[in-house]
Amino acid sequence: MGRALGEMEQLILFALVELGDEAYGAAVGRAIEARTGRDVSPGAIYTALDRMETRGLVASWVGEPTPERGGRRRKHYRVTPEGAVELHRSVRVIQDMSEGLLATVEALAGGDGT
Amino acid sequence: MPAAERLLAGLLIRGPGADFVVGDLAEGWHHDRSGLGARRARRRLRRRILASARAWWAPGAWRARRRAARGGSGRPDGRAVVRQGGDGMGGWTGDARYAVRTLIRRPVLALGVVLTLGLGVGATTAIYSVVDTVLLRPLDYEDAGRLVAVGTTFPGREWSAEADGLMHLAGTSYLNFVEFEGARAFEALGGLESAGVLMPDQGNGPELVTAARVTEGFFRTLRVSPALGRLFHPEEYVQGEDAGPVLLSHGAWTRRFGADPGVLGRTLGSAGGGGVIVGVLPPGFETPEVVAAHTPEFWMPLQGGHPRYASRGRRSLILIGRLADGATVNDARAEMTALADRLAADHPDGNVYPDGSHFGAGVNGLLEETVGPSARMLVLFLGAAGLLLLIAVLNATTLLTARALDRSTELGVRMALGAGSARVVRLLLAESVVLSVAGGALGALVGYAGVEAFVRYGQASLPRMDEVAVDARVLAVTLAVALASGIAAGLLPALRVRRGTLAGLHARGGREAGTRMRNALVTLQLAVAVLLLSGAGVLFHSFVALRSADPGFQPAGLMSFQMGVKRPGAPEGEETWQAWDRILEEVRATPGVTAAAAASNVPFQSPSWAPRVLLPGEPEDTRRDGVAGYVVTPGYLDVLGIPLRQGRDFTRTDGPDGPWVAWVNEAWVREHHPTDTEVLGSTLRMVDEASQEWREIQVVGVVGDVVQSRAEEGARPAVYLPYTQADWPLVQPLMAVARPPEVMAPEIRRSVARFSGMVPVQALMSLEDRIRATRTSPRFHAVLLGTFAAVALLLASAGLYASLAHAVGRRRRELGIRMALGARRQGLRGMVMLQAARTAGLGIVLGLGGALLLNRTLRGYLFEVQPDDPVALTGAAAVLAVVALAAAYLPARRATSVDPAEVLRAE
Repeated sequence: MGRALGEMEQLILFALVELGDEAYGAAVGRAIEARTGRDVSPGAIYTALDRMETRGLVASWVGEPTPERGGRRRKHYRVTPEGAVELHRSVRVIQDMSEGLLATVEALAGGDGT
Repeated sequence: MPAAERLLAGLLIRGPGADFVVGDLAEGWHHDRSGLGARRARRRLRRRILASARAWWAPGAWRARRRAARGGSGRPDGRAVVRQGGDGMGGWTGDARYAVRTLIRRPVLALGVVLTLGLGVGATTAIYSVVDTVLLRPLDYEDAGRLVAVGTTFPGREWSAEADGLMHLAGTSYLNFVEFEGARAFEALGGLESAGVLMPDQGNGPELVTAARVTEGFFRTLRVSPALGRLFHPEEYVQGEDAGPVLLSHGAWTRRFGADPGVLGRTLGSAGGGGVIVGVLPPGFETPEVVAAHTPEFWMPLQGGHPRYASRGRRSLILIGRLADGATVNDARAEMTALADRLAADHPDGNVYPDGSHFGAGVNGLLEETVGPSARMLVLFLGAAGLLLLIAVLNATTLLTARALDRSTELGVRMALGAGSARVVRLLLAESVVLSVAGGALGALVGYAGVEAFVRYGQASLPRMDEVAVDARVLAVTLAVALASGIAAGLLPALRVRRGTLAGLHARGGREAGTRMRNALVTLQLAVAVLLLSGAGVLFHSFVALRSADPGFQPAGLMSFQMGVKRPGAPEGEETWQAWDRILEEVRATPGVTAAAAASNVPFQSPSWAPRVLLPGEPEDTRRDGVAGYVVTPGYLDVLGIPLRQGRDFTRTDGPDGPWVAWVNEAWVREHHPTDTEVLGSTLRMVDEASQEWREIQVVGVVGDVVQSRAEEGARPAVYLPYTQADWPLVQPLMAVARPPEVMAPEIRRSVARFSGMVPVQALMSLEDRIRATRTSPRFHAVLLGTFAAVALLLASAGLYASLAHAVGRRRRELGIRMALGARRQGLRGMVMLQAARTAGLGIVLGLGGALLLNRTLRGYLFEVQPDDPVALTGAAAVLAVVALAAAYLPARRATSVDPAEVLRAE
């Protein structure tokens, strides 16, 4: 369905999988940062989530406000079955294609794998 | 989240779902703060707000968001879903987007409205910033509302002529101050006396550094604590020691001592030696402007036991007080008046005039005293800016009305298809809101630039200029003004739609009503422009009169400076006049100086001596105020080119041992010898400053009047004494120079250094510069109002042009048919021009009427020109007429370029 997932979308979907019911913008950002070291802005996260929501890949519901958010509500997300299928497919494509080639890629890049 | 970032995030990230993003930002910051520390967390927050905003407004992002915002798509446990968005606001943003798109399609109109609003809002913002700071913001001291200025008042002149409800305050003697200190209305009272500390030559000649001596209550009144070290101990205000304690201003500490914290305990290194540094005042501390124009660099305790404070006539202390809890300015005034009455009874010396009237004591709020007479001018400027804004709004209304007329077909179709009138009104208003936001942004920029220019040119004319800045409060006002203006401009056309006249608009009658309204709007704009032009014209005329006023002497090619004659190492027994001679010798020997003389004061400088003079036969208790006293050398009249009307110049024989002689000026003769009684040879009596005894002086000459302090004030009666018969320790040499002042200045300094390297040369400048400095304020007023008037003229004529061009455009068909029926081109052109002339004429009449009413507020700022000055009024009318006809010419030509054949084919 639709076009292939972008890298950002993949990262977010994985984060949703990891976080389960506790997945909302800031938590997603922290999860991505914890695993990849990347600082992704909430604006970018929501933009990607909105886009995926219109494609039916994620579903959302609004949670409770908390004081540390200045009394603002959280918007929680979960991966829909369609989203899971799409994520799986896009990762599989990369896996299948990269099978046995990563060492060569690293060599071409001139690094020692770090 | 910190308020600034919250505001930023709120501004940048908006629309459905924005709350979630901002919430995340807040939470992230909360999280970071414990991990990274407050500063880094805040920096990161700012970075993330900007990054979020970029992603938020990326192409396609908002479309996806709107679809997603229809609500949550399902909670895992199947409970109800909270819906977001979808209310009226969504419709508004849709309208705004539509408005932006339609406006972009007609960029000239959009640009016109934005420029117009931007200029009007910008001018208002700039002036409001100034007014806000100068008049409304409290002074920068703790609990500044209770600070007051306290001073001596003169009998018969207790109240200020320039500002309502303000007392006219002068300095106070130390001994009187001590009595005032006990007043119950004050929690604290302090006095400051200006002083100078001479710093030795560091390559640019000796420097006289501004310093102050203060009484014990001064720092307590202002609630100042030192940044370093300590203030003075109570006993230091009593003992007189040569190496007394000194406090440094923060500026002096940084500039002169490299902000060295080890400075405490060191001596100042002044030319007189002495001065142990005991502390440094805090960085933001500045003396109130009424106390000293510039914050003194060195501070010393005022030791009241010093003989110089023994006289009650030496009113050298400027006082400030802090009102006690519950006391008002009026309470303080009442108490001070009673104190002054008692002082006059107990200590008549120095407190009572010869005629029996006595000095009083007065109190003003410190802010009022600081702002005083400038308040009226500032309010006037704000009024002028408001008029400009009015023109801008009228102009924008004209443009938007024209546009609504053009769109009547489209809007009619919309309504026919079932759009409610409310919906159409919203559509039109959305456009004005979009335009006013853009206009507000431009206005903020114009405002910033305007404030900068205002502060640069207004510095010399207005108080508190160094505090003026555009801040969040002003920007909020700007935005509000812009929105209100834009909506006001859009309201008129929108309401017409609402009233249902829209369908009618399309018909001929409606169109005529629209045209009438547009003409009224343009007429009003032109009227306001005439009003501003005439105001500016009156000020300009007054300024020109001031410039061309005869100063009574020839200032071209003259320079002067000021210096003291007392110096270390002066010859034993040297008389003051001998020191004058030595200085003049050095000055005359300077290459490029062609002639020189000296005086105690030069023209365009308030005379510093008001001698007590009696006419023949007058009793000694006669009171005569405001005589200007001058001490001059022979040659003074020649160098300045002042005419000697009668009698003779001073000569060598008018020496210290000869009979005492004087000149008087023409103002003296007019006042005291109106009936041609013989002036020359008459004998005056005058108090000798040195011995305080009466002496007889014979009038040997009558000299022409010269401007004494500023051209606005007529010459006061003046008496001139030869320098050999008066002991005046400050000399002001006057030189005719053959080369430009900037070339002469270093030469003159070199020469004077041969007289003494220890005495600073002050106020070395050309007389023309000195005169120019006295005209700074009138010029500033005229230029500022002139700028407003020019912009107003531009906007109003643009409005006239746009209106006529639009009318011609709409009447193409009619014009084409007229031409096809044989109307002559000239006739058609004349028809358009006639309409313009009618509009402009009515505008001029209304504007002049307004000017006759409102220009009266300028009285008090005018020199030899009346508020209803016919030159300025006819000038304003003429300028407007010419510009209006020029603006009408192009549309008039276009009217005749209509090709009848083409028009008829299009039918």
